[in-house]
Amino acid sequence: MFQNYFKIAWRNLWKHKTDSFINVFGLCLAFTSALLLLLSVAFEFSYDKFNTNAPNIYHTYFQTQTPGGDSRFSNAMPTPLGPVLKQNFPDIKYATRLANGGTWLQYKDKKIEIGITYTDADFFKMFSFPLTSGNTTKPFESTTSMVVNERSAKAVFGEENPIGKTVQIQVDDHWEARTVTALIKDFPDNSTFQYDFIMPFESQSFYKLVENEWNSNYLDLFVQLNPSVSGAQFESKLKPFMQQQYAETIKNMKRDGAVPANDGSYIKLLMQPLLDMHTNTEIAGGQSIAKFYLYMLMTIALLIIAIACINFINLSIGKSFTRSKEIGLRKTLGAMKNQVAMQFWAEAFLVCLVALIVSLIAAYYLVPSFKQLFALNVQQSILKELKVWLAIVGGFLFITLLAGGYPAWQMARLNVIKVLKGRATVGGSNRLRNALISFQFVISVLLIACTLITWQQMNYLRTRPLGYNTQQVISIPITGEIGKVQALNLMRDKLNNSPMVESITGLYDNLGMGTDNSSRTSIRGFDYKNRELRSTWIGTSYDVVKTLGLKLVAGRDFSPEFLTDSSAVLVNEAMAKQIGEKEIIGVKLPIDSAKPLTIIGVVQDYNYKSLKKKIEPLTLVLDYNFEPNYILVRVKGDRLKESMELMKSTWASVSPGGEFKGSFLDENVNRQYRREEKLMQMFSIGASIAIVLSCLGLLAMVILIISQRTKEIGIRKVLGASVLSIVNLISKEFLIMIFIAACIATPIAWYFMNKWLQGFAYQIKIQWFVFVAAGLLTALIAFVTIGWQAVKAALANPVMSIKSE
Amino acid sequence: MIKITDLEKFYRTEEVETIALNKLSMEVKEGEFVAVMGPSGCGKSTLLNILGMLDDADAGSFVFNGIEVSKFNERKRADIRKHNIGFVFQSFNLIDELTVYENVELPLIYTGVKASERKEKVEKVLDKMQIMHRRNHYPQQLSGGQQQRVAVARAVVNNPKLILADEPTGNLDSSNGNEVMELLTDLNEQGTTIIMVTHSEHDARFSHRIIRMLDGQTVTENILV
Repeated sequence: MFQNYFKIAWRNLWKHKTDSFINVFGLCLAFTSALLLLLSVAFEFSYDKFNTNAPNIYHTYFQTQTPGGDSRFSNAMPTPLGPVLKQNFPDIKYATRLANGGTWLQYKDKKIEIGITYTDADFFKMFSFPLTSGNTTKPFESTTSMVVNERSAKAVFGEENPIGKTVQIQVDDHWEARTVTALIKDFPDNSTFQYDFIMPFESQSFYKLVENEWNSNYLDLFVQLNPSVSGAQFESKLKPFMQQQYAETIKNMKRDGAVPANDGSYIKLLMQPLLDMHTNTEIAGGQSIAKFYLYMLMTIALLIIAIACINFINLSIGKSFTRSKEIGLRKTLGAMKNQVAMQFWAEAFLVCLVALIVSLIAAYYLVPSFKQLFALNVQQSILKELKVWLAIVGGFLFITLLAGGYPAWQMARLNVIKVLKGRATVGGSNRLRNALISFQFVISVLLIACTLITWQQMNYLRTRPLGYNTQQVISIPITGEIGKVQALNLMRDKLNNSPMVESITGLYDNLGMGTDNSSRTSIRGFDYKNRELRSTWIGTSYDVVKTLGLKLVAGRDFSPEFLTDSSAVLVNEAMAKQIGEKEIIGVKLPIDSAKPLTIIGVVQDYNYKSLKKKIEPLTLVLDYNFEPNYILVRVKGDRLKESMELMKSTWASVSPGGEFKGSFLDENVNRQYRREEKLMQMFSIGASIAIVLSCLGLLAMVILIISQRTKEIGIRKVLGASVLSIVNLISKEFLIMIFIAACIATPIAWYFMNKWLQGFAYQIKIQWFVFVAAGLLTALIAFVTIGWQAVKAALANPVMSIKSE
Repeated sequence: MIKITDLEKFYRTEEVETIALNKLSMEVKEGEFVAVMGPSGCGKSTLLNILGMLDDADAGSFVFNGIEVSKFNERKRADIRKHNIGFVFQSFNLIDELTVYENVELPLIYTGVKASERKEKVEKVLDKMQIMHRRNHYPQQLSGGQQQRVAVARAVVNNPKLILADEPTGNLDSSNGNEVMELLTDLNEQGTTIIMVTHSEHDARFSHRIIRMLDGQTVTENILV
């Protein structure tokens, strides 16, 4: 029986090759893109789930209240917090502090730059990162112990057995020995933690200084609670502890007029579940990706599938017109309703199956380029997981049931007598068909509008003046063994007389996102006349105003001519406003009571962070106090390319081992909006696929409608209808649908894009014509699709069509 | 009114070439009622299509109202057609989605007649065809004879000089058929030229002249009047 169904299904598909092709091609396109998108989403959501203790592990963070009534979140913890909590709260099974650093490692004649992670011993018990050899039970034998992952061990020791080997690492200005005590398995790709060299937390050179320091927050703290306690329960248990431990801080906050949170607290220690870390961008630093984007990806994937299914349903029902005689005959000959339904479903199943197989192969081979295009972390190996297969098969069956089953059932229900008289129609009127087509257009208009709005916003971000010179300034991250201040001075000496260079300075934090992919923020709070002032601190050097092209509102730039500049600062207007003095120049900021800092100048506000953030108070200090990480060189505007070459060669002589990662600031500025750019790409590709699929469906639909109306068109032509009036006859209905679709899509797009734009401190206003443009574009594309067929139909000789009976 | 000379029409498939019209010549004067008869496949319908300017000939001359139209493009032919020619088909060819009234109104819309004028003309012709009471019905709701009366109404609503009828009674019983033939005769008496293709000797007797065709050529002409 089933064999018979599939045999007939196959013949039918083969007979209607064009329809079958449109169906299979459309489904392939949809399945492939949806597969890729959904697999990426699945991968992002799988982060850290491999940890068996994951449900009980929490990342701690502070919530502090501001005078403005906002809450501020920070995951930077003080050194003693972890051990004290573990000692006082039996709910905590394990706790580990985490801090990162970098230095140089020497083994035999090999010298490489490494990243170090400092953890407590509990780290190995909490997380599921197996130790594969060496002392697997107590890897931190002493403060000179070191755990290395397999890949890094190979890089350092080659084929030698690394266990027990001693290496030298640079600590401040001297070298110290470390012994490899254990190897750790390479971290899975979907792990938030990716560490090469792990050392005991106490082995940090400055550990003794901060061991009992509650006011210096810099590390991450992870705790594993007993399964009987939830994060929220533990948070409330922490309240009395926080009140006592931070009594002084709370007192100061009250004095500064901080508005308490709903529960009356000023500072809270909260628990962020480990499993939330990867998708929470508010608290976690690092490699997180907002849920918003993941849901957006998922939505696009599902919409694309929906469009393909709609095509499928519409085409199947449409075709039933031409096949109604066959259905009627089959029923007359004794076929039961469900037998007829089965037969049509078998056809749908075959089409979907072919599409799925092609899509799986395509997806597998497209993963690498897809990964690159969207900077997503999907792996080919994910296609080999049983869970994923189950999901795919499940989804597939659901789609065939919906897209194939519904039309099959509709056709099976046809009334035999009407069918044989040639008067049957499926689905009553065309209402369902029109609703589905309108829905497709809603999606198209929606995605086009989103593309246009993200594009406008990106364009705005790129072209908005930032208050500093982006075109002529090269930023060079200081890399290699050389001291930072020394590197800056050497560069100055070597480039000072170059005709290509205008001026040089240094900065603690890069402007925009450099090729070193890092950014840092240092915020300091201090008491000034019994108020707390908070400001971003950036270490810089002489000529900062000149090099960046900042505008001085008052005072002067740093200059080597004034010896007193070692204790001088520049502030921006926002900071000046916060200080609130009439005569701002000469104000002394009591950061360190022994050595107050004097304001020597005020610069006009400039966007030292991305345009997602408002300009906050900023204080610039000289490099004596605050080492720069970047050298900034302003070059003459006429020979930008040669200037970059000059920087490269000069840098090679200044820091022989350090990689040159220089880039122009305008590139850096663009680079910080990579995520937004990816979103825009996704929208535009999603929109293109949606449009292509919708038009494919529309094309098939129009061909079908025309074939059903051939006779009518013929009669009209005989009676004198012009080509234009016939094209109009066929297109009008669709154009009305597009108009309705645009009306529906507009508020939806407006709502979501408005929400997205809220994430930017500087944003465009959504303009009405964007939606008109999206609607018109859709209409135009649809009209081209329809018009071509309609014109063909209108030009056809009516003799043939009216004769047939 | 119509003068065709040495008209030729071929149909080609991949292997076979069929001659539908083989150097056919004929003339029809204004006010005539001509019946064209002949066995299936003799070229009657092809001739009618060419006369109706729905199709063009491969060779020969076709003069309509003193104008040589055989070389006209489709647009020009369509223009002549919609102002001068009405069609009546064996299978009525009414549009199922439109009411009786709308079906009859269609040619007037295509020739650009104003709405008020259209109403007047449609009502007049529906009245004349005695189907006024059915004006808001759809074609499926009518009997065959009624449908053909609507089709005739549609054919004459524009006051065409020529009506081409392709077996107008082929799908009708004899009493309905006679009704339609009488309608056509009336129209002819009021001055409309009619060319009718038919298989029925009975129907052919309503005409003035019978042209008999075989293999794409005229074989005999009987003058009845």
